[in-house]
Amino acid sequence: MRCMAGVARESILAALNLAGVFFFLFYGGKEHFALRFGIYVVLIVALYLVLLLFSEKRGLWPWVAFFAPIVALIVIRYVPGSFYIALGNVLGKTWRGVPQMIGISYLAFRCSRLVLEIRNGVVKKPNFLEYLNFAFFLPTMSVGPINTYANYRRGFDSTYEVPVGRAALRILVGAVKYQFLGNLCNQLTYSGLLLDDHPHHWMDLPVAMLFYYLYLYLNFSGFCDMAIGAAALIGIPVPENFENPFAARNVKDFWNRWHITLSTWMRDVVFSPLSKYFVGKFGIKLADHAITLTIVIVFLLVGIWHGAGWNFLAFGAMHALGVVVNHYYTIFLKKRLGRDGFKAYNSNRSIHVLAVALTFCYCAASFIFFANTFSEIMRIFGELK
Amino acid sequence: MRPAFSSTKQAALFTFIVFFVLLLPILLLPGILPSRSENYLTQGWTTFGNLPYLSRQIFQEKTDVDVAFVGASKVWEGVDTSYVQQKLSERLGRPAVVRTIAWGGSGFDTFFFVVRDLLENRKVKMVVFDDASEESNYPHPLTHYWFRFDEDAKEISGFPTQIQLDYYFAAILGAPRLLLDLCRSNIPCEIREPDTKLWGNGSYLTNQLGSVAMQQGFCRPSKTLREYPKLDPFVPVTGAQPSDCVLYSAETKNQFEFSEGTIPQWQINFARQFAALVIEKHAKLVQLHIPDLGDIGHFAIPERTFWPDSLRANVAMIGIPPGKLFGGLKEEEALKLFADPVHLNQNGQQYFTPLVTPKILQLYETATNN
Repeated sequence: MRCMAGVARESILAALNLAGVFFFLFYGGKEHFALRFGIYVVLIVALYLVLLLFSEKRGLWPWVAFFAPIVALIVIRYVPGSFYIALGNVLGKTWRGVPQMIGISYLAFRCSRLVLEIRNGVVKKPNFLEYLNFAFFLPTMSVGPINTYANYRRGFDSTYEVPVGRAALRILVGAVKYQFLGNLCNQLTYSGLLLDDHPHHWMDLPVAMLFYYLYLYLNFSGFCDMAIGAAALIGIPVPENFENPFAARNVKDFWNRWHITLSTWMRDVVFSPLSKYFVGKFGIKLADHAITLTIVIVFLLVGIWHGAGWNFLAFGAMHALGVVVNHYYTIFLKKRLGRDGFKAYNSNRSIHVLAVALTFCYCAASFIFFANTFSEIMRIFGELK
Repeated sequence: MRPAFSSTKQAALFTFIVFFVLLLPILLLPGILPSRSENYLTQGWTTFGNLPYLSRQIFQEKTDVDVAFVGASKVWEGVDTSYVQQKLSERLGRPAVVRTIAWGGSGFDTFFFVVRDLLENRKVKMVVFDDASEESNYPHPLTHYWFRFDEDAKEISGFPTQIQLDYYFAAILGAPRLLLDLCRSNIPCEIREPDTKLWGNGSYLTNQLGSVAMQQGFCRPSKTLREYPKLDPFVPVTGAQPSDCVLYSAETKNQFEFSEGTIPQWQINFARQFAALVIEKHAKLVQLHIPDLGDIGHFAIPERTFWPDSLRANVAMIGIPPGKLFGGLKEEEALKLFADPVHLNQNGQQYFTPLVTPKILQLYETATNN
């Protein structure tokens, strides 16, 4: 496929992507796979039409195109299941609740950012095949990384060649992490260890926290390795999503190393414009607090983006707290130690080790909200002796 | 694209970790691992059965067991253990001990491991089982809990390489939990009444002797969701009598029919090891045919194999010909006896158990008098 170009390449890629999405749904053993496949295709057509109509108009119209994928995400992901059951009843269908739309969060973020890229003149407006392939790009369809359209097009507009062996090794290592080491760690996570309806010692809680953190990293980064390697094999660049997150020295640093493409999206699309707006609104004297407010909003959004449930909001809140504490602590240190003192503080080896250890523990603990609903958390604590 | 490893050192470390993990079952030497009773305290009992109960029955209770019904969910849900115990007690003139040691998920592999634990810890006079064979070539989903390479490697020698690899990798998957159990013992679980939505989506009634009664009407399982209708209490009116329960013999062989060839050989091997163990422990081995929906329409008792030959053991085969068990029932009436195509519900259990109990007691008496 790397040797091909133009419409032929786009057409074959489109056929492969559509077949891949269908395969995901069909062999995933999910209910109503044909209906959900239809929803995906209709959604892409609708989003493309909205993009055509509004992305290059003046005024606020591009925001319609920007928010359309996000509204679709909200409707599909966050509308209560009872709504779909009631709708199914009206239509004479036996729908069980919220339809499981694989990768919808990633698709929405990719497509909405594309509108900004067009509006800012970074890329040309894609034709339908190009749009379909970007939205449905199979390697990154289900769990990212969240590519920008500009980066994605590098695979078509210029030469992006990675040696096949290098890409294949990346896929192999990803598969070992995802399928083998991840599953092994999963034996001692919340679901593998604590949610077995047996009572547990308190020491099992930190064990589950540690292994869930390892499991999630191996699972997610392993999948990203496979996605990046597979995309490279067909000549499409995909950005990195992880940069040794266990070495993060604070929560802010953690988000520069964990799910980097989500952090980048949030930074560029939400944090930067929102912090500018708040600083402008509250004045430069209150800039630090304006940034704090922005941090809280961004991380609550990060939490909600991960899933519909109060536990995800709590996950976001816990990370917001971590970043806000770091934000004020940094301000405090800079004032107290001065520029040189702060530099010395940052390069102190012992402080670095302590900070990394604390961040590791904090992040590992925070994932309890990511992995479990509140009722599951209650069950876990109820079984601890 | 970044290379898979940033340095040779990182690649070497990754390779070391992978190989270390691959060798874990061999590195976990015999004798250093926790006792097998710990295995029962580490499994999600709300998914695969009342494992705290099994653990107590196998490792804590010490009295002799007169009759043990062992097997997968068909046995678990098919026989009312309390009824059999009551009738046996009346017949013996002393409190009899009848237990069901059963769980979710078919396969003679798990069957063998659990029965081995049972027979090593308690004297059992008669073991009653039904066909638990798994047609697919996959071990039980919880094999990583049951199978311990240090103790059980010999049990899979001679199996096809694919199956041996499945078991080896199951042993790798079970290693983290075993290592954790080395650091601290598991806390025994209280045996409690199951939640309404336990063991699938249906409602169950436990009888405290190991069996359960499914309190729901018939529902064909769909791929993703099972919604059981409420139990419609139903007592079938048929001509079936306890005397219709037949023991396989030269005289009754035309009341059985055998369809050979659907059980993988490695499953048969596990079944043979199970049978050999039962015989070695001087227990009577009885195969009880528990009906499923597929039996309707057959006149004779359909068995997937002739068990005495397949198990190479003296197995007493008993059952009720479907022609008599379901004789005179309309299809919708027969469905009221089942929770799904494979399992009897409470109606079916209450109908079936009294019909087979006299024959079971007769076999018990014959075996123990000898």
